[in-house]
Amino acid sequence: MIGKILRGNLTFRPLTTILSVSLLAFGVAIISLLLLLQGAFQQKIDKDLKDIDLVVGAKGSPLQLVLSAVYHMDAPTGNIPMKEVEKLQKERMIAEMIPLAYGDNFKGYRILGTEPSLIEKYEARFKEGKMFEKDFEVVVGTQVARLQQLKVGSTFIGTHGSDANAHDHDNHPYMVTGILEPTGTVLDHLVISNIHTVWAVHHTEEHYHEHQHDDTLADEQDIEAITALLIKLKNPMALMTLPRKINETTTLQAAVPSLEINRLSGLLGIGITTMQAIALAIMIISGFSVFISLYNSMHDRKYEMALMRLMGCSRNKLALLILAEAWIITLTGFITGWLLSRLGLWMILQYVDTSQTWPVDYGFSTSDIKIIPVIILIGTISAIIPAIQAFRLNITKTLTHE
Amino acid sequence: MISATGLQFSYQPSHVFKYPDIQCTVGETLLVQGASGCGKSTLLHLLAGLIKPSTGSVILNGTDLCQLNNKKLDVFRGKEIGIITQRFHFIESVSVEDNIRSAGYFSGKPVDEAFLKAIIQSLKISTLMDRKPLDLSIGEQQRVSIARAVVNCPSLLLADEPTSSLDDNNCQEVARILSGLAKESGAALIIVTHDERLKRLFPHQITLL
Repeated sequence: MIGKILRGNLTFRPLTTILSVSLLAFGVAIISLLLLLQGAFQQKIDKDLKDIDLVVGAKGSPLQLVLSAVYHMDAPTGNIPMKEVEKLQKERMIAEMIPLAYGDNFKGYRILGTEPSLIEKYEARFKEGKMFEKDFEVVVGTQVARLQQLKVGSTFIGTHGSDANAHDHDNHPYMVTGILEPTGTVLDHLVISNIHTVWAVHHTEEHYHEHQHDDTLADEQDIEAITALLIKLKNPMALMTLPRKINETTTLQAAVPSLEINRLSGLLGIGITTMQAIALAIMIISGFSVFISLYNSMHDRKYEMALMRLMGCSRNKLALLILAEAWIITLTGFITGWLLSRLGLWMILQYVDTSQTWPVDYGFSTSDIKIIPVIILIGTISAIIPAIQAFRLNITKTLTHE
Repeated sequence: MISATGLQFSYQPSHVFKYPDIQCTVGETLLVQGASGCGKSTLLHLLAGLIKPSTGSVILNGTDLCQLNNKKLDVFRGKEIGIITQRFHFIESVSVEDNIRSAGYFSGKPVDEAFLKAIIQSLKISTLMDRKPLDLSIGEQQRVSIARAVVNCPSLLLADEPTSSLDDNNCQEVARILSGLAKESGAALIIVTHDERLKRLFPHQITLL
């Protein structure tokens, strides 16, 4: 019976109920989506950062160095000569050092010269094939393989630089020897070869130009350069001294990725906080809408409430009935909003740049649990005044229409 | 049976309603008459335990309403007292049938299905059960109100001006149905009215001054 009455009351003024539910749903959808994306962003950043304590590259912006070397989202700061790298190798505080040499690109996917240790660092497993061994053999990330339909044994031609539309290096086909399982890291979007491949491409490149124009002379030393080094330190204490040492005594730059990323998140954080504030405001407005609709209906419903009291309904039950109505509206809003946020997420992922993998989970996340008490609070606050009115309803006066 | 003795009530200290003693047994109908403003509705509310008298007592089947706390009084009223209000009120959002059944629900007294069927038949409202109360005519609304008031088989049935908006024929019929249903459900019936037409039908009367 109480269910029938609740359902009846909610559907009696359907537009008002729909307004309240949809306002709430939008607020919840925005907040849930933001929390989800924020979580995914954080997770992705942490995953890609996988114990890289230090990035060393050419002098320039430290943020650019981190973005280019760790996340492959930016242009590199420049090249560093091998003799500088050899000096660093003597450094005792370094536990692991992975060199990166940026080569050509394949349809916009960067061909990265490095060592097998990079793939091992991200604990990537092979879906097919094996590690590159010889020059011009490459291992491709899952996204590259899927979107460019590459298989083990496929060959392709790289394009100079990182611009997909630059001229082709048509004389040097690469051959795929392995395809990686999805890792949710930058590896998914990379084509990985050994370092020598990158050098070899540029070596011939220089000779190619030499024959054409006959004016430049390739310097072997210049070509044997790398773009950046990903460094893991033996102990955290080294983080205090080594970057300064590198920055002050060499021509190289050392950047601490976690610091740079914190700086970046700090900037993005303002935007996210603003969006969250807007979403919260929408939810509060929806609470207000629930309040107004309940408050207005109190005037029409005081007679039926007096009647319920006549029939033996207690004050508490009457007040609870009002609260339950608000809770149902807010919970419906929450569920609708939650579904809406997932739909929004799905849509965003359809249209977003596929060059990045986002570790998103469509299920119920821990951040959603945080929204529930807020929702219940909004429902309760919006119903508290009408509920008190119902509790204090003067049956006699109502029935005699005073 | 119900008995009220020495009832007094006042909304303002300057104006005190004093009521004669009232007694009404099961199956009997008591007509309480008086001009507007003489405290007829107030008396009804006192008898229903909706307000507490400043002096005096209302005893229904041995239970003194004034001695019950609010919660117990709510339950007691729901089970033992059926009230037909002057204007008809309904839970607007649910059907006629659910409105009638809600009396059973709120008092916690299971509805006697056979009795419900009998009531619906004698009130001729079987075709209205699925409709919404506000879609009914005044006459139909009144029948539904009566059904709801008697469905719990109360010991006391209170009716506030039940015939004021009816023509002579309907007035007669409603009066007959009311006293009939009161007898069937084992209730004492008290009608508060200023309708002269009822005087001829119910000999047991008091007039408030």
